[in-house]
Amino acid sequence: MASVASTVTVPAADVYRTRLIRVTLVWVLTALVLFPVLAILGLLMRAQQGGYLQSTPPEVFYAIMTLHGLGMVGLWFVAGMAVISVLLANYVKPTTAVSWIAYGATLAGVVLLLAATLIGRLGVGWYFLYPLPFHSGGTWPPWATASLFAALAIMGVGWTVWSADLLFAIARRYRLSHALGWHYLSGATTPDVPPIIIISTVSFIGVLAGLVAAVVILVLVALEQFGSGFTNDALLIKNLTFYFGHMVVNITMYFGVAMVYEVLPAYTGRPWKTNTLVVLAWNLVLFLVMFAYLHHLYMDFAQPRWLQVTGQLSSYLISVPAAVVTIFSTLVLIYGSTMRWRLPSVMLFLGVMGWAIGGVAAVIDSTVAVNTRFHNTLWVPAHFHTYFVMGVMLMILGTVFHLVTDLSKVPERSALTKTIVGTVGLGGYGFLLMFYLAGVASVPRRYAVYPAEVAVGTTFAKVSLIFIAVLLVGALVYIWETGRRCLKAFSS
Amino acid sequence: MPQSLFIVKRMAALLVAACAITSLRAQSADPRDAPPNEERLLNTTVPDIPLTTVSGARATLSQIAHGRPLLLAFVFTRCSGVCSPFLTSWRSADRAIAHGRYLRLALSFDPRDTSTDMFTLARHHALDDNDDWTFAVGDPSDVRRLADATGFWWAWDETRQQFDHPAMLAGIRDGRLVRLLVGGSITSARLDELVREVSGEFVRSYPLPGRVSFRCVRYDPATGRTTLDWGFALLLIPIAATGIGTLVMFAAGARVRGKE
Repeated sequence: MASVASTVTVPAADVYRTRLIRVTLVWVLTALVLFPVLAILGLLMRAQQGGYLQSTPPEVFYAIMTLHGLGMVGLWFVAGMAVISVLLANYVKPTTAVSWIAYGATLAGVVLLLAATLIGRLGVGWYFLYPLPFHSGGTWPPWATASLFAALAIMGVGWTVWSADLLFAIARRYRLSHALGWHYLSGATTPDVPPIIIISTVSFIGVLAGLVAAVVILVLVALEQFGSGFTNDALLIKNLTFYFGHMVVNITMYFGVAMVYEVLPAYTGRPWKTNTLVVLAWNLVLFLVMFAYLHHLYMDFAQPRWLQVTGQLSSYLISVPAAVVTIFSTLVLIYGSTMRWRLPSVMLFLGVMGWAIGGVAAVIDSTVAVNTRFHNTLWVPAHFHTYFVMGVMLMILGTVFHLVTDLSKVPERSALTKTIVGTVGLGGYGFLLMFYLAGVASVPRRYAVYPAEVAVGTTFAKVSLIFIAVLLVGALVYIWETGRRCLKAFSS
Repeated sequence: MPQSLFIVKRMAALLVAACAITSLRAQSADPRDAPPNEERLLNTTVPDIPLTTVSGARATLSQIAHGRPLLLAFVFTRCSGVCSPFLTSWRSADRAIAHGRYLRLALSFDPRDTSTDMFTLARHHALDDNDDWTFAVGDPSDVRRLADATGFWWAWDETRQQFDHPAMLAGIRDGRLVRLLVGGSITSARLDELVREVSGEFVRSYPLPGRVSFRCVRYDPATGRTTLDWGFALLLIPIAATGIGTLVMFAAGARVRGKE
């Protein structure tokens, strides 16, 4: 019996979408593997602060702190980029090959970071403030510092190309004035530009500015190390470092918010249209985000006073357009709607809530008079963990679950949703509460072991271990549920 | 994108060129014209070398300090220049400040000096029976290591038959360099700052002019005013480069749309 071969022509758009989804799923799976590992590093740090693991030398604590900090900041940034690119693909066409290049650069960077911290015991913190990396006092070898900067250079190149590609994808479809929604300000409503395009344009411009700052840092540091002709100004490098670091963290938040704008309407049944308020808000964000980092330098007495005032004003003002407009709009979108409370929508909603709570704590800390007291206390990790763990992380994870459930067609189980939301909510806020209370009690941050004067910090750390364990249970259930959907989607 | 990368590369190249010019200018100067570079040395581990005190006792630096902060000066007994006035100035300033719990160490860097020579020097300054002051000599190679760690240098001047060297105090706490105080004359105010710093207190400081390239701000200790310096312009590079890059990218995007 003769067989008949048939050829099925797959449309180019479908091939492209499949490729983009595949690379996104690889990013997501990688994030799902790295996240619990990095979270356990955090657990180990709190355990040491809680009086356990006493035989562990403090330099190991600082190496873990560095890996945990850099790892989490980088992880959620790339996860945000990956998820945003697949959402953007509804409107524009990012290059999948560039995403793979960024993935390769990120993996290479991660390997170098692992070597620097776990083998070299590099303990400079996620902000690697100059000149600390070059003054180890024998705690870590010079190659560990070289690894750190090599990792930053490799990842920086990968992420710059990736961000530029995504921005160019927008540029290929929209004029700059349209991508920023300026036509809405003059009353025009066409072309219809969805909020995700405006927020992404703002975000990618911000990311590129931050990455250029990183390039300047790397050039200056390299010149000092290899040129041996001059010494860098520590204040200049600190300004550049926080310009870069604050920008990356801040923009990661905006990726999460863009996801809320794009995905939440699928559960409310109401569209989230761009309007004058949204455009004004995000254009103001683009301006203010360039100066908000200045609140990291309140302790630098040499920084001119007008820059400190600028830092406080921009930190205050930036919360209005980005946070208040989004939070208010979210509530308006949900109020009176036929809301479907599924895991993605609950996580997105809780993410906005976490962003609001963490944002208030951040605004409090960005007040110069308050910062004088709070700056080096656990209040700082309290607020950034709030808008990271209970803010952007929930937004990204909610969107990921939305995407993989849609792709895999595996139905959501109500009991597991309740388990995840309950454990993550209880564990997350319990763990954060211990940070806040310790901050109010003036317990210093970045201490491996607490001295007698702030021994109460040990108790807070011990209690937080219980909550972290609960949070981890919820995270692992989520990872299991999402992971199997990812694999099913990948194989299909 | 190629366009934005091109701009970033151009910016970086300009920066590299500017830094290279600065470096060449710095390298062309005689290093002996400038005082030691404190910024490069802070927090350096100081070698715990063995010394011989004027009493003939052998002990390491840490044993002599005995847990106390340490102020160290390099001198030599045949010095016809700054050494003696420097020690006199240090002693006078030391008497004017209230702090007491730190060790003053005068160490000879001249291999010809013996502990007896250093005893004579101590007695000349009426410091031979003062427990807070120690005069000592060490093995030349050890002294060299200590000098390198603290930025001190010397060079033999054949004409004058003297060592050319800076006058400086190195503040050391827990085996690490904390601060340098450079200059032949020590005022009580500057010594007070050094002692407070070496005792673990935070003391504001500002770098010497010409030491740091691309400074963000310039502090005038006379007026207490802070003004912007050229390095601040580097903070504008990210905004400028990204602004230009974005415009180029959207212009290129418009061309692509036009072709389609």
